[in-house]
Amino acid sequence: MNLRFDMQQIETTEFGIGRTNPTAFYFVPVDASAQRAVRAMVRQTLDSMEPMVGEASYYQPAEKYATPEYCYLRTDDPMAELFRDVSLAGNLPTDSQFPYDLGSMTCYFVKLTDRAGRRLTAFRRAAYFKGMLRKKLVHWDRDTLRLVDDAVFKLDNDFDMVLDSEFLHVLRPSSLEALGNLKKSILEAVSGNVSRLAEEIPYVDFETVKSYAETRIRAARYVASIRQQNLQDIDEDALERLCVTTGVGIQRVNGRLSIPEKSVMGFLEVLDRRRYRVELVRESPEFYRATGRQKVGGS
Amino acid sequence: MTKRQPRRRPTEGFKVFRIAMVLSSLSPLFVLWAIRGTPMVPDIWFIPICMAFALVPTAFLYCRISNAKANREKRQLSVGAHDDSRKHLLVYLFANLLPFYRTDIAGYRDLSAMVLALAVIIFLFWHLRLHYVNVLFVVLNYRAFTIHPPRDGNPFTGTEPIVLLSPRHHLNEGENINAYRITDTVYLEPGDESSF
Repeated sequence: MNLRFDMQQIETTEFGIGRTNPTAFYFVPVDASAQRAVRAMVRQTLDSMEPMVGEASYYQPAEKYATPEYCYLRTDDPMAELFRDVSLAGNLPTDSQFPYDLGSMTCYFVKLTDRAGRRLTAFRRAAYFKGMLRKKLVHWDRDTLRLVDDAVFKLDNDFDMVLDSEFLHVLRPSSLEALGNLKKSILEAVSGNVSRLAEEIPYVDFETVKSYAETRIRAARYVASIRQQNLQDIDEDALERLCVTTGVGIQRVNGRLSIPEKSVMGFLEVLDRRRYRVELVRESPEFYRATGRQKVGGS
Repeated sequence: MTKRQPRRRPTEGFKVFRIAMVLSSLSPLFVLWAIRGTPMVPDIWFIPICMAFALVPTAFLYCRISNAKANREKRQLSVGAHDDSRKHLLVYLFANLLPFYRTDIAGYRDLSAMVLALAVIIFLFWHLRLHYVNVLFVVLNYRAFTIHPPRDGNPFTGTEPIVLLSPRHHLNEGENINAYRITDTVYLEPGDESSF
């Protein structure tokens, strides 16, 4: 992995937690032993990603990902905005309520700084971190089993994602969606994304697509995913032909392709290369929708 | 089910240690009192008590700083606007040393009034987060800077100022400094030749 960080020359290790309602991030002091443990988690995360580097792809909101599966985002991508802001935030306040009132806690993170001043920030959903609080733990002390009264937390084996100066490297895309509140940002981005689609594919009327996707997350995901692709070279006739052959009902109005509301999802699947037709049995075409697809061969 | 998480109001950490830091900053006053003495309390008690108040809190401070270094409790601080807090030393001088040093303790009422006044000063310094004002840091060539967070438009950047004790003579806005956490609001950047 080409990480913009030197794991051999770590200068500072800062631990923190994220809370919601309102969304805020706090510094939580940790001693040397806990710092060693979280640094080991970062190393384990990078080791887990390393074998998947060759198959890593840019995160697409409409894609269905396995757990774990390595994908990445550029740090200037709007979907990485929250994580980038946390990484760059200066002088995070100390969480004066920790370890009390953890109901609003969503994640924990670690910020590493190397000797060159570069930062690496890793995030993990806090599902298991708080899990020990409700458990009755006992420990062996002075030849007796005793109940542990202190607040105990559990660190995971690795982090869900790691952010350096250039990329957000994601090991668990489901955590990216949950922590980044991507559903809300994807829906909010529909108008801007559709405007850009309309600029690049001027022969299609996107008005029904825009009004449909603004309130439907699956359509909004397709729009966000399509926006990442190269659209300028799409041939108008080829697009119309593919829509017809895969059963997507489109019309010609004033020389432009118009999409009825009931065909919006089908049209978006075509644009996102997810809708295909198979005719293995003569004169019995079958139509499929791919929840996950990867380009194979070709250019 | 074991009750482990009572709710509580948010508070700043190191409550007791901050009182120790305030007492440490008053150590020159305790030394002066030990030298002056008082007819109200025999020297065999008064001097050890004053020296204990002078030395024990300072020993706590030293242990805390050593502990912070041993535990690598380091943070990277971002420098926004900043002030040199030397004027706080003047406040310290006029609030603490001069009035108390000049006061004669002629009777128990004077002694009681002095103790109460001192308690009020200690509380105020503790509450106003002036526990970093310590002549010892000045002697060791540290300057106190109040660092305000950078105005970077980042919604998560902190809003509270932080005090940095540093051997530097000036700071540059926008730079990042690695410093040890002494309390939640006071950080120390180690120098090359200081005893800390």
